[in-house]
Amino acid sequence: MPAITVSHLVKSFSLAVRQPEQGRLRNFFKPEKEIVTAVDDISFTVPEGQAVAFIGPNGAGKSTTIKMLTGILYPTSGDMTVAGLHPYKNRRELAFRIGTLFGQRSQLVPNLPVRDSFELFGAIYELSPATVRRRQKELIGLFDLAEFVDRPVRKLSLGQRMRAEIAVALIHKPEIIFLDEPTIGLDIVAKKSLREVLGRINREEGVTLFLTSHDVGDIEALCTRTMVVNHGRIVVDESTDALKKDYFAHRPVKMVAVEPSLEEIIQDIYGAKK
Amino acid sequence: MAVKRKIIKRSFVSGVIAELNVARIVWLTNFRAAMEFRTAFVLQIVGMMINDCAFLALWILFFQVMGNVNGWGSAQIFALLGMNLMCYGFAFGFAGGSLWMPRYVEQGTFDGFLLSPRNLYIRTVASRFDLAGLGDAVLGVILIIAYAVMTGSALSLVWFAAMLPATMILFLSVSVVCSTAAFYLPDSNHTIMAAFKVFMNPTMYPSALFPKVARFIFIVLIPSLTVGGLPVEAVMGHSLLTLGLVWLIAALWLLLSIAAFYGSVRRYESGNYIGIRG
Repeated sequence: MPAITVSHLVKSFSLAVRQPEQGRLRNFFKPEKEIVTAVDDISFTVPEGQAVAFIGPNGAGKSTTIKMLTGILYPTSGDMTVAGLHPYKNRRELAFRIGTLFGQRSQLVPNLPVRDSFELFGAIYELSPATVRRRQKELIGLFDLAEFVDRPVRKLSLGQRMRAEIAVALIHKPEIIFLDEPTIGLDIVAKKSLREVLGRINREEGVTLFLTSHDVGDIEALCTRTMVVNHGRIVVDESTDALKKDYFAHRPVKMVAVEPSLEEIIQDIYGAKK
Repeated sequence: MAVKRKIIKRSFVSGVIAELNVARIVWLTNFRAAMEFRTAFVLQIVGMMINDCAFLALWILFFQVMGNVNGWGSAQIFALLGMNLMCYGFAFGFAGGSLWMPRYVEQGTFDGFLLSPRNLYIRTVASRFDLAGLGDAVLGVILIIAYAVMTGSALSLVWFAAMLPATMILFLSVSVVCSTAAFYLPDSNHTIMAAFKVFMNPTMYPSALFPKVARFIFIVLIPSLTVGGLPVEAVMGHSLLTLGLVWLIAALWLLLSIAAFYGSVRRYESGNYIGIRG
């Protein structure tokens, strides 16, 4: 059974649009409405265990698609199944089987140590205390959280918090993980470590990954297949290797032969010598 | 391999108990988080109790000057405020998420509840607690005991206890119905709070002050008297009919709030809220 099937999925929003020529009062009492189609008749299938990148420019419909697949948004039309379930009809059953990480949102309890969030989410996912303890131990090891697991979340660095976020999102061993900009704002080291762990989960546990990111590094490191979406439509759907060959055949590379001096670095940043 | 979880099939009652158990764990977690800031924790509770005492003092002064009004005196004000503070305090001290719903919807953080494998209504309502509400609840209990001592009626405690769950349900249901406006109106937090105050403010006034038509309006349509004056009347007259009426209205508003909530959630549009300083 495929992990995800999407058939002719559409999501439209109605927006009030201000007409400058009609005056403020008319705009206030009788605003013009515009229908914006964020996702426009997309169809695809993701087999179990695949790592898929769903990429595109801002406003292309990536997050809207993920939100429909996870049961947050109701589609305007079309059909879809995730883990064999309808996201908006079987929201609760689906939530037991998927994990989500939205890079710009936190689900951890800010004033309490990370460990408390593990316990809270263990209870939410109906895991026994023994299972929570065992799973917590595994995830602390996997994500290297031991150093800060007893520190309040609000005192963690962004990289530490993101590692904790995804560890907590995996407490219930989901079959499919949806990641929306998981490495946003992270430094190179934190990005690398997060990619390694996600890659390992995908390879060793067969977990399906569905990822959106603006970072090509995430896609190259994790995903075997890439879908490019623009104006709500899928414009490219092929293997990441083929995509690299077809679209990224030429890459500008800047080579530095010797270690630059401080003066050269400053010159490089600020332009010509003053 | 990833584990394919089997969903536990439950009866309605055991399902509700499981949801309430999770709500209890969420509350304990939120309570521990609030305790991290001990000074603010104590100040909020004590501050709310002082505020309530000032309101009580005003009513006592009123009855000292004016005498009893239609059978209502200082003792009944103790009962009225006690009942009010208890039901408000326990309701929002344990489940204050409904009043946060407009913010959840506006900021897109309602996503988190939709991603949770729990009952959406209970998960949302129990997602927060109002710390000051606990101060209200403690003072409410003290006032109800004071009423029982003043009137020499220990039985009144049983009557209040019989009505407390219904009035708590009513408080929460009305707040949910008001908050569902957030799914229809953008930036509606202040409007919703104003609508909720239309319900909440009359709860603090003796039912004797309301003429017949106003009584009907404030018992059924805007059920303010049902959480305030009506329970006190039930205790004063030992009226099982009034007790039944309080429970009936609470049940109807609960059903209305569930229907309004699930009917509105379909309109949720999520969003990526970013704070911009002007």
